[in-house]
Amino acid sequence: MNSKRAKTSRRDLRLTPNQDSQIEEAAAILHVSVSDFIREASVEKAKQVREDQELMTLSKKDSELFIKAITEDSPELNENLLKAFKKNKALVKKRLG
Amino acid sequence: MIPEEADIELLNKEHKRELFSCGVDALDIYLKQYARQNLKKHIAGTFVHALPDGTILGYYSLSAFAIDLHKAPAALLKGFPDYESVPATLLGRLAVDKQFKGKGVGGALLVDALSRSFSASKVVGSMAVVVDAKDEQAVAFYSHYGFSTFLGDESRLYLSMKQIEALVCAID
Repeated sequence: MNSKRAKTSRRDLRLTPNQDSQIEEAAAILHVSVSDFIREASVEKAKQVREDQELMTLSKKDSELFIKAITEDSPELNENLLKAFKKNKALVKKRLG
Repeated sequence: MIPEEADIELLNKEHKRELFSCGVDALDIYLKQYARQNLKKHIAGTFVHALPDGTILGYYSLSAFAIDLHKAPAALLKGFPDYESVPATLLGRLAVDKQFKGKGVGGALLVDALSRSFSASKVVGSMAVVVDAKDEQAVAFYSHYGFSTFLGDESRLYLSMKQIEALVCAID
């Protein structure tokens, strides 16, 4: 972790009285503040939504690295993975058979 | 050692899903509640490493994925005419039951998932296997096996299909 405090931002949102009281009640049950509750719940939801996406957009730098990796004709083999493939050769044969 | 009678197969009703416990709630819940539904809906395939009595040692799930490369420099995209995205395979989940940790089940599941992805790539096309790593331990697991992390998303790593092909050839 960085010792400097990370920069944070504010976001205001409107809630109906009903939504507001539902959130307050839920936060009370979990013994967390309303802002902690909203933050954690929405971050969790955001993660879920991202995971369910079937497409990932890469930055310019990541695109460059990714293209280089997938087009490399004689890639250097990772020793640990090679060992795992050798150890599980029977499985590999079954899947490719 | 992994029991010799264990095999890796598509999840079915005989597998004892309810007993599975890997230590990460989200991965246990997925296997118990969503894996079969997603299989039926053709969203994702789940493969389990199981004993003949249905005991599950571990599982993984695979689905179709795409990598959007429209931010790449045009010169690099020359080899990919008309495409702004390339097909990939998502290894969304991989988990080992607590009881069977440290026996090489994770490695066997990973090799199986990569071999299966390579085999499928000959039919539908896939240029890389992308993995979702749920925590730092998972990131360390995939890094150990040579996966590269995306700079913009530390929870996702990838391995090129050419790399998998080379591994398959190397053990032949």
